[in-house]
Amino acid sequence: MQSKCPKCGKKLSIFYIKQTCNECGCDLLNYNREAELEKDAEKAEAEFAMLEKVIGKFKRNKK
Amino acid sequence: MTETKQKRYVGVKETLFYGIANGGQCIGYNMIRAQFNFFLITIFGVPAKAVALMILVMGLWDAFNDPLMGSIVDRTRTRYGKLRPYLMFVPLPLGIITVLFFGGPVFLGDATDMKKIIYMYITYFAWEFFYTIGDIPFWGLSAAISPNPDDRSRAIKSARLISGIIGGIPGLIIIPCVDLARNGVIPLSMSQVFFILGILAGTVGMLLFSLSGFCTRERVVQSNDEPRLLDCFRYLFKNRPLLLITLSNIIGTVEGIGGTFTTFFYTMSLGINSLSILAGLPGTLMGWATYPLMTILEKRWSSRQIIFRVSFFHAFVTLCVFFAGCKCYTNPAIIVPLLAIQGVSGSISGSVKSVIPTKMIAETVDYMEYKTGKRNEGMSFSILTFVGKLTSSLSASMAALIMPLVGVAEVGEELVLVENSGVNTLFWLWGLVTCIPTILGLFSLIPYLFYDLEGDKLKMIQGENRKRQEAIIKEAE
Repeated sequence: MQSKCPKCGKKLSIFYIKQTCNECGCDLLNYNREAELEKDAEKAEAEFAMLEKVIGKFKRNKK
Repeated sequence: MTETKQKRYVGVKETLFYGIANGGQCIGYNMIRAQFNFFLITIFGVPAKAVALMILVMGLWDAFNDPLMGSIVDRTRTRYGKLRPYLMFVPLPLGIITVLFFGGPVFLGDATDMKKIIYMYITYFAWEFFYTIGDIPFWGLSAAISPNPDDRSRAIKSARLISGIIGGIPGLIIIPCVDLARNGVIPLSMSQVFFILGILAGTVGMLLFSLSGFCTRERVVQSNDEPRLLDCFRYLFKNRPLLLITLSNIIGTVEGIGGTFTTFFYTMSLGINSLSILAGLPGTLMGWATYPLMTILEKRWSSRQIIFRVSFFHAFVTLCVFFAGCKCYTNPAIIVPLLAIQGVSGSISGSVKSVIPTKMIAETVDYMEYKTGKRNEGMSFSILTFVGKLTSSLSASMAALIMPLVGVAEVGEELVLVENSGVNTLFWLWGLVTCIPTILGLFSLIPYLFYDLEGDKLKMIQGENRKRQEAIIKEAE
C-alpha cells in the first residue's frame, strides 16, 4: 500500500483507490511490478528457509 | 518473469494470514448456518413457516446475487487489486450485521411476529449480501495470490485447515452454553447467550477476516480493461472445465444427506447423541493431518486422479463399515469404533475435496484468461459459493423427502420413529449414515471423465498467460 505515486511522487490518500495516478497517469498497480514480485519471491524463500530450519531443529530434538 | 514458474511468492506468514482470515470468516458463518433454525424458531420465536419461506427466497436470490457479485468483482480495477478492496471493507459491515442478527431476541423479545419476521428478513438479507461480497473475493484471491500453482495450493490448504480448526470453535462453545443456560447453571437467558456469541463472532471473527485484505497481495496481473457485464456471464458458459466441476459438485449433493441423518441415527439407534463427538474425534484429527500430507498426493497424481482415488477409497471403506455393522447397528460398543473408522476415511476424502476442486477452479480462471484475455476470478468463484449454498439446501431437502420413506416423522420439533411403518427404519438409517450417500456420490465423478485441463495443456496455458502478463507489466512501465 504505497502512500505516493512511484513515478511522480504525488501523495495518495489510502482512500484513493483508482488504479492510475490522476497526476501522471501511472498504472499504480502494475508499475515496477516485476521488481515487486522479485522482492516477494526473496521474502518467501527466506521465510520458508526459516521454517525448514525450525522443522529440522524440531526433528533433531525429537530424535 | 519467464522463470517465475518455480518461484514461491507467498511466504509462510501470508499463507498463515490467509488461513486465519478464513477461520475468522467461518466463525460467523458456522454460527449462523449451524444454529439457523434453532435460533430463529426456538430462541427468537419466528414462526417456522416464515423461516422456511425465507430460506426458499434466499436460495432463489442467491442464484442471481452470487454471479452478480462475481461480475462486479471482475469489473473492479483499483490500485489495491480487484479483490482486496472488498476484503478490506466487508468485515466491518459484516461484523455489525452478525451482531444485529443474533441480537434480534434481545432487541425485539416481546414484539409481534410480523416485526420479528421483518427484522429477520432485513438482517439475514444484509448478512447474506455482505457475506457473499466478501466470500467471492476471498476465494478469488486463491487464484490471484500467485502465478505459482503450488503457492495457490498452499494458500487453499491453509484456509481449509485453519478454518476447520477456528471455525469449529462456535460448535464447541454453543452446545455447552445452550445446555448451561437451559439448566440455569449460568445466569443468562438463551437470548443473551446467543447475543454474546454473536458479538464475539462479529468482532473477533471479522477482525481475523480482515487479515485477508490487509496482509495479502494480488500477484497475478489482470487485464487493464475490465470485461463488460454481459461478457462476464457469457465467459462463464464458455468455461467448459468450470462447468464440469460445477456439475460434479451438484451431483455430489447426495453425499450431504449422510450428515443430516447422523444426528437421527445417534439419537434413535444408539440413544446417545454425544457419542457422535467420540466417533468424530479421530476423523477430525485425520482431516487436519490430511492437509499437509496432501502435498505427497499432489506430487504423484494429477488433481483429477486424486479425486478419483480418494472417492473410491472412501466408498469402499463405507461399504465395509456398513456390512460390518449391519447386524448390530444398535450396539454402541461396535458401531462407535466403526463410525470412527469411517470418519477417518471421510475426513481424508473431505479434506482432499475441499482443496483440489478449489485449486482446479483457479486453473479454470487461467484457462479463461488464455481463451479471452481476461481473468474471471469473481464469476468462477461465485459459482463455487453458489453451488456450495445450493448443495447444502438440496441435501437438506433430499433428507426431508427421504425421512417419511424410512419411517421417520416430525412431531413438533422432535423427530420420532413411526410405528408400524412397514420399514426397518434403524436399518435404513444405518445405510444412510454409511454407504448409501458415498456410493451414490460416485456418480459425481462422471463429469471429471471429460475434464482435460491438466498436464501439458495446463502448463502451456499458464505459460501463454505469463507472456500476456509480462506485456501488461511492460506497458505499465
